[in-house]
Amino acid sequence: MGLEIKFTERELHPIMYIIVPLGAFSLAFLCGGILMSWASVNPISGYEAFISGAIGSPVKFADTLVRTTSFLLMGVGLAFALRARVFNIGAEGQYIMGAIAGTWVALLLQENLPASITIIVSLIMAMIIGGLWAGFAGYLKATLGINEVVLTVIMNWLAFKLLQWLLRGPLKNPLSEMWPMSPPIQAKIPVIIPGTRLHLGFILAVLIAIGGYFLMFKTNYGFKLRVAGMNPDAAKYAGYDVRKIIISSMILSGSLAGLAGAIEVLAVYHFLYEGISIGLGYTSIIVALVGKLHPLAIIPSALMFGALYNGVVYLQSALGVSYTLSKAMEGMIYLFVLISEVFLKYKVRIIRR
Amino acid sequence: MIPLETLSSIINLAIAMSTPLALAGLGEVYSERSGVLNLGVEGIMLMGAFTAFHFTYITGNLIVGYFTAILVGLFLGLIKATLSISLKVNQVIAGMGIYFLGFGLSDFLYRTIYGAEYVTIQKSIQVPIPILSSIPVIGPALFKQYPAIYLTYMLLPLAWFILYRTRWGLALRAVGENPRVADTLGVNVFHVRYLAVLFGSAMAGFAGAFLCLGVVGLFYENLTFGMGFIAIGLVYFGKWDPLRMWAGSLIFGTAWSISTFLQDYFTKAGYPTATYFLLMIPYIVVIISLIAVSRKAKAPASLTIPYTRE
Amino acid sequence: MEKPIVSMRNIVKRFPGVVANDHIDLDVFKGEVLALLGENGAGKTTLMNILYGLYRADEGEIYIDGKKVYFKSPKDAITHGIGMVHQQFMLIDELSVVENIILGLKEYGLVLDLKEAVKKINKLAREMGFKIDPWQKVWQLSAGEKQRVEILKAIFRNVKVLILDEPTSVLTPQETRELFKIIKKLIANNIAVIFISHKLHEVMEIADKIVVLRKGKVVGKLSREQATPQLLAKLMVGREVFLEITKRPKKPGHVVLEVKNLKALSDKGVLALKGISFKVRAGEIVGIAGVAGNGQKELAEVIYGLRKPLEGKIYLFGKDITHKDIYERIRIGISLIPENRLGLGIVGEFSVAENLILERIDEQPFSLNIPLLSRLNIKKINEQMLLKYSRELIEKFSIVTPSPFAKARTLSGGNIQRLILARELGRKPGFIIAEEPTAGLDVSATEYVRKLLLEMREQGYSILLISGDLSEVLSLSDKVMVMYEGEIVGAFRPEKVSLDDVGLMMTGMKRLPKEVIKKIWD
Repeated sequence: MGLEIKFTERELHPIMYIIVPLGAFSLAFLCGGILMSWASVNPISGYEAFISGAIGSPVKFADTLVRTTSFLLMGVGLAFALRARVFNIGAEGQYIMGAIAGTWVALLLQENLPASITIIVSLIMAMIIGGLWAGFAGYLKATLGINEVVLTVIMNWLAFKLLQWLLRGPLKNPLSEMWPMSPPIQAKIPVIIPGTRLHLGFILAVLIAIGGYFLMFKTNYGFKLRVAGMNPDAAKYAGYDVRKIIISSMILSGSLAGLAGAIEVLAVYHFLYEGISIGLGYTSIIVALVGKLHPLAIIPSALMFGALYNGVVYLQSALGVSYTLSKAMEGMIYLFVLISEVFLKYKVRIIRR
Repeated sequence: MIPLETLSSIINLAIAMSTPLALAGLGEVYSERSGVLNLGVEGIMLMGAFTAFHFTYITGNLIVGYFTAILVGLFLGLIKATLSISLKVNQVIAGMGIYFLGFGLSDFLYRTIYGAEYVTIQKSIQVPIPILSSIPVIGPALFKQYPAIYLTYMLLPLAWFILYRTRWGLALRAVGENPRVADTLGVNVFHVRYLAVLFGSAMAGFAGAFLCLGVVGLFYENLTFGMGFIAIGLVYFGKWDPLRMWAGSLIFGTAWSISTFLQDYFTKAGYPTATYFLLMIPYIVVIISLIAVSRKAKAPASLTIPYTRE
Repeated sequence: MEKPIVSMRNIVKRFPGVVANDHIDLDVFKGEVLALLGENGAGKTTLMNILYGLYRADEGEIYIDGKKVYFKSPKDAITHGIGMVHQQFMLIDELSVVENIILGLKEYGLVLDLKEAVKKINKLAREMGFKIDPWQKVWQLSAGEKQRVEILKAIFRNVKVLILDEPTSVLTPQETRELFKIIKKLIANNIAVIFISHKLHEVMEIADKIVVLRKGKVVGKLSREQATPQLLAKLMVGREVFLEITKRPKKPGHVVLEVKNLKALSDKGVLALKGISFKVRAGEIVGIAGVAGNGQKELAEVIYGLRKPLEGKIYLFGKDITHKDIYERIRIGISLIPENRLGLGIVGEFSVAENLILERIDEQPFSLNIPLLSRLNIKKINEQMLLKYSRELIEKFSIVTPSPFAKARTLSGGNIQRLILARELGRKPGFIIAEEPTAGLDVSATEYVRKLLLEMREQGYSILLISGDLSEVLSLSDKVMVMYEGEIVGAFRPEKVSLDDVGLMMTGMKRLPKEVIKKIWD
């Protein structure tokens, strides 16, 4: 063995905690620029289009905030699960289950009850279903030690298959033969700025993020959860019920993901269809990690990814660059942030042994 | 009741559908046996599929397609290996990164080059093996297959043999169970893990290429549709044994194949949505087997734990 | 005179705060059993780890067959014929015996010729007088069988010097006898055996030469003929002087902790506690003396709740806590000063203040009720109270820290211990288990801790003190019990027993009658 990598822990000046992630983003955007020019688009005009697409006009900015809503809700939920060291990769499935539940209840109740009650009950049901979907995996991890990563991912696909079946079966819109979707939902979450798509759900998401901050850092529950994630042995020694922490963090995470799904249906689309989630649950994992698992920092992180998604859509219509650029960039941002984290925490030296 | 010809076709399709799972699964078996979990298999399969598609399209040569897919797999695997083995980044998180990257990049590259339409390539054709393919029912099912599948027939048992009967396989298993002890006895833990991960990702690239070139004949977003993750689930199901994992992939492939055939049947019978319901069953089976397996099987003891030399 | 096969000269090895090996010279001869005797911390395992290539000495040289060698790793040592059987077996449980033995060897081909290896294994086993099934998986083997696999592993690598580290600690008496037969066959084959132990009767039986270490130095080199148990025990334990500690005689109060016939398994699945019974009263310090590894750790874990007992009962303040979880035990009044401070004792990333209320976070006034959420036990943390409490404790226990908000891991070792003590004692638990409370601390911190323990005793608290520092145990405790191989072999008041006797009890040579032990607790 000739070379070896040595890690020594270090504490850097706090300013580095902003500079280094910023550097990671810049690198990712640089790569995005390279991809754009490979697609025969001038990166500068690409970036211009991107920015104008994301925040160029009030309508566009509102759209960015709409997209941010899902990321924010799921990201905050994931912050809890990940801080408890439970790798909840199942936000996608929990989101879908919440969307299904919300749709079903809304369709059931909207004839007989006023819209506001319908919405509230639908959202609560969505949270319960999403919470149970996740809680199941959490329970198996806590009691049987089953690997939650594999389990939650498979459950994602199960949820999607369920969605596919329901849309062609019990939840089918009899008037639509072309592609599978549910009947339209009349009960809508109100728009708060007329002329845009910005809805009340966004406000709710921000409130939940603030509430999440409070829960995570100002309550005994959050305290115990963080200890259990950082040092499970110390948690046991201090008398904490680690199983309860694992299961409750999953339920919390799942219910927020379910809520996000239902909000998407009830506020944005007003019907359920297969494309209700295009990997939002997975992106939310990146959002949470980039937001350092801190509910308040996840707000700007969610905003950034919302802008990324929206900007890229505009990029496609304006310059013909495929909107899937955002997915490629997501992966790059993620990896660069990961690598930068290593260099933040450790001084890395390669030595000859 | 079922015409023998149809039975034969069902099995034929089942084997074809199970092959990408088996190949990716084999790669992941080796990787996890060395102690490294690679959740990025799905992303590598997608990149492999796209690369194979693209290079087959421009050269018209399937072999070039497979070859480039393996190269791409190796490249992505190198990134994963460096992150998880040398930089000791959490394996779950690093794997997700490879998944996101592979997913997004393959989609973007395809759309940018080919636009939104479906482009087909001359895909692989089934080649019958003389004599063997004349055996009733199983002949056409097993021996009138794509060349890559014949490769798989040979590769899986060979992989089993290497794992359990050779010095390399022993070193691999030792590293996965107890890297410290292996290190004491002169086994280079880092080399073994790097090679295992690279093999795994090369296999994933190959699997994705086969899915595109052999089974589907075109590329579109999320072509693999979770197969990479199912392959990881199958590794658990197979208790980290190549042949058991292969059996699991065959079960899965059969379920898919049957539901495809049933789709026709049910639509004619007036229940067009029933197949979608049936499609949930394979996933439920995997979940149940995960629960059942957890009670008895043990993962390689050092799985997901980075190794440091004191 | 024959030349030694291994010569270690002037070996020095330092760890933070302690000199583990202090200029040690050692010679090992072929065909002989050399016993390395000493208490924990004496430096035996460190010295052998250096010989095996796991550590590198700070100073000194090693010569094999007269040639100077440098070992960068066990691989080098193995190439030179050094083999070591550790207390934690270096075997891979999931693999078979033959696979474990030939792992890393090139002689058996790329396609493994297991049959060839199996033939050799069977031949060697026969020669040494035991049976082993080479195809069995290692996890299925007993401790004795695992040991034999390790020995075969060494022989396959042409071992010339075999080091056995406390080999009998996991064996039954029958297996021990069989091990000794194997050792005799090894030396008949001109292999040198180094036998690390603290058990005198075994050393007296098997060793040709005996080297006694104490506190990192060689204090005696004897041949078997020259050695007597008394002499060896005295060398091991030394002329310990009672520390300058003023301990006021006290009449102990009511029974706080009672343990009845406690039995428990160790992590290896071996019986670590074989029926422990004793009592601790209010205002009393009961000390456990004994070489580490005789069940003390498991006893602390069972009493605190980190380990489930197989049999037996534990009563704390009159309540049966045998099946209660740690949370409840803490509420009844138990506390633990753990040996593993950084791993268990503190949450490094949390602040000093947060660590100080680790177990009390649910309690009023540290958490305030929130309407509705309190039903789920979600309460708001009262940060002012936290700050106030932590400032009080920081001052009271003299914790040196730039602020209560500093991360706990930035504290020095001594201050980390003060933090733990502050946290545990700050909540005024009636019963305290102190595991190696002064290990690794400097002089002033050590003094502080001892003074503190005595103060708690003054105030009527009960303390169970586990310590490898014999003088500490003897000076601080009102009553002392000696643990050996999971049993209490002696219990006495420190003033009433001779040091030599203590040494003999610790090494399994002497055992007080059961009635005498029982009477001590009354």
